[in-house]
Amino acid sequence: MNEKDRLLEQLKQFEMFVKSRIENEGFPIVQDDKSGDPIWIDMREVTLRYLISVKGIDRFFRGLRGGKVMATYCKVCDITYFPPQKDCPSCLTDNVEWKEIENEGFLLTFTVVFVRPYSFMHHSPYTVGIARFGDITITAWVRGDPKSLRPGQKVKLEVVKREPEGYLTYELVPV
Amino acid sequence: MREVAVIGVGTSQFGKRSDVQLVELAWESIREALKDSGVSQKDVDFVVTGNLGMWSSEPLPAVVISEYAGLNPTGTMKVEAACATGSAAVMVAYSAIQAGLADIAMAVGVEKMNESPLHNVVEFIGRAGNYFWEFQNFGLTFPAYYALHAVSYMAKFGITEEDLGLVAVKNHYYGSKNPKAQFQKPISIEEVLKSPYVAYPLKLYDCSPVTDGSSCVILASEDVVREYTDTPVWIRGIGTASDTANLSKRKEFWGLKAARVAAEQAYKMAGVHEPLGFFDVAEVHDCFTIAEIMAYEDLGFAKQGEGVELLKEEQTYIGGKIPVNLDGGLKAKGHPIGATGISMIAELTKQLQQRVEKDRQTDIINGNALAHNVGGTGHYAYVTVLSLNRR
Repeated sequence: MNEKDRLLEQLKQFEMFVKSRIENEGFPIVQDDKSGDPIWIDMREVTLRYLISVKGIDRFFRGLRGGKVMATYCKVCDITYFPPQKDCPSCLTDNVEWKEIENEGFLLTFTVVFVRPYSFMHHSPYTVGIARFGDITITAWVRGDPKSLRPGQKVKLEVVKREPEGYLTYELVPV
Repeated sequence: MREVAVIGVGTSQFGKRSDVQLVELAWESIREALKDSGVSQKDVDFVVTGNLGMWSSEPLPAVVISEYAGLNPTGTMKVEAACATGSAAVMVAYSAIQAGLADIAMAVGVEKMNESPLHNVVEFIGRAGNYFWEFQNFGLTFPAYYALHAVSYMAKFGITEEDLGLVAVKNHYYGSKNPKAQFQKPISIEEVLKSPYVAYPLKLYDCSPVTDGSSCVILASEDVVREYTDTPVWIRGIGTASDTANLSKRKEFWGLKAARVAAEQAYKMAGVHEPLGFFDVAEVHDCFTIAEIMAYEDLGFAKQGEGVELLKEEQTYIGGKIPVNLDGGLKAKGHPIGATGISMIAELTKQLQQRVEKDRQTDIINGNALAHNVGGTGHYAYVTVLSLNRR
């Protein structure tokens, strides 16, 4: 059983316990583990899942489908934007072009995330790095054993399928 | 320019406060600040509430707190600047007085992080960067953002995990002397090094805890200060700055530019030329051990890469060149997000007035103190200069 399944199992048992408290005591009130203080368990639950528009950066996703990681570029101001953005705040226009990122980079820094957020708990601890590619810098997961990594390490960008979610994203791969 | 002073402060017990609701927790510090200042609710012209929320059930903390604390019909609002929310609330209250909109204003910060289970707190706080480009795909956490700085800093300046741990040892030492701190036991460097990794190279004891707490300050204009106190603490300088949401857009990871910009502004406003020797005491934003070391450098206490030397020489303990975080800091006192910045100002006010517990009271020579409060990972920065001396 992975960490997430264990947590879900605990939550399920807790849910049953709350139910029994309501039946026996008349309220969803339990005792705090440590202090013993009475705690009301919220009866209203929501799932947060946002609807995020990507119309302005649609080209980015088409690029990923073709195996490319793209940035936007304002040729008036000579500024490359990554994450890509559809507007250039410098000349106040939206005349940005799409360009492929120069795929030779080096790692600036990295970390290994051991204590994961709830929505990433089904993954094993993962390495996140920030790497420079030409005039832009990119945050992404780093493939391979983090023990051999150090700032300055050469990396390239690779489009990968994020499993088990199954969608396309990009990863830093040590060269 | 109309001068503004702190005339009363209050801080709740920090920790896991399963015994109180958000409003009750806020009231603990409001009541203390009202009593401390001699101000009554009807005298307060404006209230600013600092709260990040998400993990707690009340979405409009300003209104539930004002009702509970008997502050209606005084105008109010909630402000947010991530972990610098408290300082932002103080800045808004200060601005209202300076602009002549209020003579007495209250800034109250509160956070009830333990209303949600830890895995949700980790989730929410990890989203506090750029949600779509950093969190959605890469699951960064708050410790991870600072760990990215730690790896870069360690590689550039050759410091070790043990060096980072010196911050934790110092701040737990002072936390042990602060009855309102979440952690009141000193820890050894061995304990720090033995603790498990949260985000490499940061371990459990490199991280500030999840905390419930509140803090409140009452500010007054120069026109009414003397009606309430003989020892006002003047706000002599405030600086505020920001940096990119995406960490990837930063040039370097061995300091926080926003903090440097904010410090420069605050120093200029207060007429500070050399911070060492000017300030008797400082509170800096030690959400992680690396953050305190970067703060020494961003504030000009040490040259870049030499922050650890201050710790090794114990220059940031009482008796050193610049005592830092004598209340235990975020690390040991705790870090209830919206309350943290206000509790820094409350602590410094009491330090300057020589009213803290004896064994953590530093000598007040010049009568100047500094608060450095960072939101997110240097996304926001607020630096505040306090002084017993009026301009």
